[in-house]
Amino acid sequence: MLRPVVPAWQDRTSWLVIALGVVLLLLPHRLRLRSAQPIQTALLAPLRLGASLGRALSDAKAENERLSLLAVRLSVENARHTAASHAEDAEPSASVNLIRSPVIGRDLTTFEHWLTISRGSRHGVRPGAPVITPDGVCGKVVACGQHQSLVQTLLAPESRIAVVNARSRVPALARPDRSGRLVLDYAPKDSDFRPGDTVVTAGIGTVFPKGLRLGEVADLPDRPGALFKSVSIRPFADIGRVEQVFVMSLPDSALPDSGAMWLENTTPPEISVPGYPANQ
Amino acid sequence: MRSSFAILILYLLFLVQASLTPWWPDLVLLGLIVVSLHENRLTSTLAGGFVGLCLDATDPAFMGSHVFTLAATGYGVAVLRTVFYRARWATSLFTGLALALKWAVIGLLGVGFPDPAALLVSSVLTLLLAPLVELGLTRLLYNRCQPA
Repeated sequence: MLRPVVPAWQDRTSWLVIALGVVLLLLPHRLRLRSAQPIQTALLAPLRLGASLGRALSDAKAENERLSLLAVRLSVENARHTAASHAEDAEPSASVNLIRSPVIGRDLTTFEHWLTISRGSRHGVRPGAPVITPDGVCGKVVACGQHQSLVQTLLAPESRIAVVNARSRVPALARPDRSGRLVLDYAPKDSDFRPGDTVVTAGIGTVFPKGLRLGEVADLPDRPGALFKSVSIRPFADIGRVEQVFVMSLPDSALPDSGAMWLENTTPPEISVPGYPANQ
Repeated sequence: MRSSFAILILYLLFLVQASLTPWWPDLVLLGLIVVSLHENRLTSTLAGGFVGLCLDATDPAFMGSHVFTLAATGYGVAVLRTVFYRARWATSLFTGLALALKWAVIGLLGVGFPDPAALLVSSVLTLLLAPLVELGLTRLLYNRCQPA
């Protein structure tokens, strides 16, 4: 077997590299440290970049959560001011506690009708509490365990929300259709709805306070034979992708218009959580 | 191109190694041995010198020791692999020799000897991992390529 011919210059260069290692070893300690610094900076730059990117990502996530909470607080504050400006006998504003909660489960058929959140009665969540996102209304709590709660979203077939057109103040009742949008019931035939109008909660049920953003008018299908106006609403909250919600914890004195019994108060389904009594 | 990719892989292995404790196997050494089994003498030596410089940069007290040992390992493996038919066990043999050289150099030069328990565990793991790394890296880098 013939051995491959290796050019002598390759060997000589290789020995030079090995000798360089020996020279580096023989350098005085102080010179070694000084020469190592620029090499270290250059060679470890990707590692430092990765670490700083990780830190920046973590900071951005914390900042995002903070701003998200702030956005919800401002949204609630805005709703309260809107309600006050439309009510002559506005009550003094009560403090609203927002309970931030990650979404930890969804219904397995549509992913949009029911959410499970990781906050329960131990955290102050109560059945009937409104659930919102920074974009708009998400739904309401229908059952609570100690550490988990079940949320009925506004796209669940049983959901009904009393709403009002923020521009023309025409009231109606929003219910989901099967295409991920809402339709309005009982909107008078000659009522003033235009595409792009914002629809907010009316505050005349017993669940949602007045003025929470719900969605915008997407379409006004023409149905000549219908008794009421047909209005299609595109919800602001992206229920299918929401990962974090805020449960509004209102004091008893601030519960909206508890005298009026509207259709928002639909009966929640019988739900049993293992280990906890039903309808807790 | 292939040599540049091999050196890049070695650099990535160094980045991984830099974040591990001394108890972990010496991934850089294993990678270098596999590269040296396929590359020519100069490339193997330069690759060894480069990753040695990277390792030295992480701890300037060892400056030069890794350059010397890894460059010598790269050159030695590239020379020895032409002496006999390269069987699977050759990787383990080269790894054992390289580990002995590395720790002997560090010990003899008096730049500090790591914790003996960590050294033992790391060396055993490196030896055990050698055939697997050889298999994986050869398929990744040198699939259907003849040694240089």
